[in-house]
Amino acid sequence: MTELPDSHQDAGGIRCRDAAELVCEARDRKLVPDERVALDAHLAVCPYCKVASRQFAALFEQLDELLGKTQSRPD
Amino acid sequence: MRAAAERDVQWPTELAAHRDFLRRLALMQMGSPFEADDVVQETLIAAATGLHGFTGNVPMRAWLVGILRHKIVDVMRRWQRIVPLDLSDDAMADGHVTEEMFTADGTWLPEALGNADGPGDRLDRQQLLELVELCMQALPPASARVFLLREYLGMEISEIATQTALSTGNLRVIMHRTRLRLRACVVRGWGEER
Repeated sequence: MTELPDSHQDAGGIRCRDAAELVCEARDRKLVPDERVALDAHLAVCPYCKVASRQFAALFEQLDELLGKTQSRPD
Repeated sequence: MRAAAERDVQWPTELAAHRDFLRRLALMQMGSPFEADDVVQETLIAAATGLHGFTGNVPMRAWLVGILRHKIVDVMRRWQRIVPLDLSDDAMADGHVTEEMFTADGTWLPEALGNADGPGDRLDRQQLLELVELCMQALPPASARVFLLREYLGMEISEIATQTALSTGNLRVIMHRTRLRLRACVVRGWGEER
């Protein structure tokens, strides 16, 4: 396992686990400003979470297409 | 009987091609095969009736999935009942999902991150969507149901709490673990040749 610089581990005052949770929570509700700031600060410096959040974004976008989320009733 | 009777109906080919997908989706959401068959049949009837109005602005499948959503919402509204979900046998109810992705201090395990470059052009769009569906099918049924109430039907967490008799805290945990697991599953798939 490649060691990344320690600094990323609690960037923004949060850990990767918290960052992943916020990325997912943002799907259900608008993050409060403190959460948004913490998440952005973490993503700015954590290479792992940059990758993970890109993956989540791709998954959510595919999920929206699969579940016809932009569809309206045809009548 | 109902399912057999339905198979005798000659749906227009362009609708029939999506029937199995609609049924799998309905089954994940409704839980009961009979209710899933009913709601898919209602969907196909509505689609066949409105087929002349289909403009092709969206893919046929997305159009059908949208109709199915309304039919499922209608059925659930008719139920007007609380359907308690039992998560005791649901693997998502324990902390295992997060433990296998993060170190004890909450950092991503590199092996859990998977292919950092994404699927590239190894998979086409249809294969990517099939992969998401396969990964959803692999979820524990109760988690899949909760997940789809939110992601497919668009219910708020608080509404889902009322309908399933689960706490909002519990639901948030389930939603999060489900998304973590889906991400892990599709990322594994991105790295595989087909």
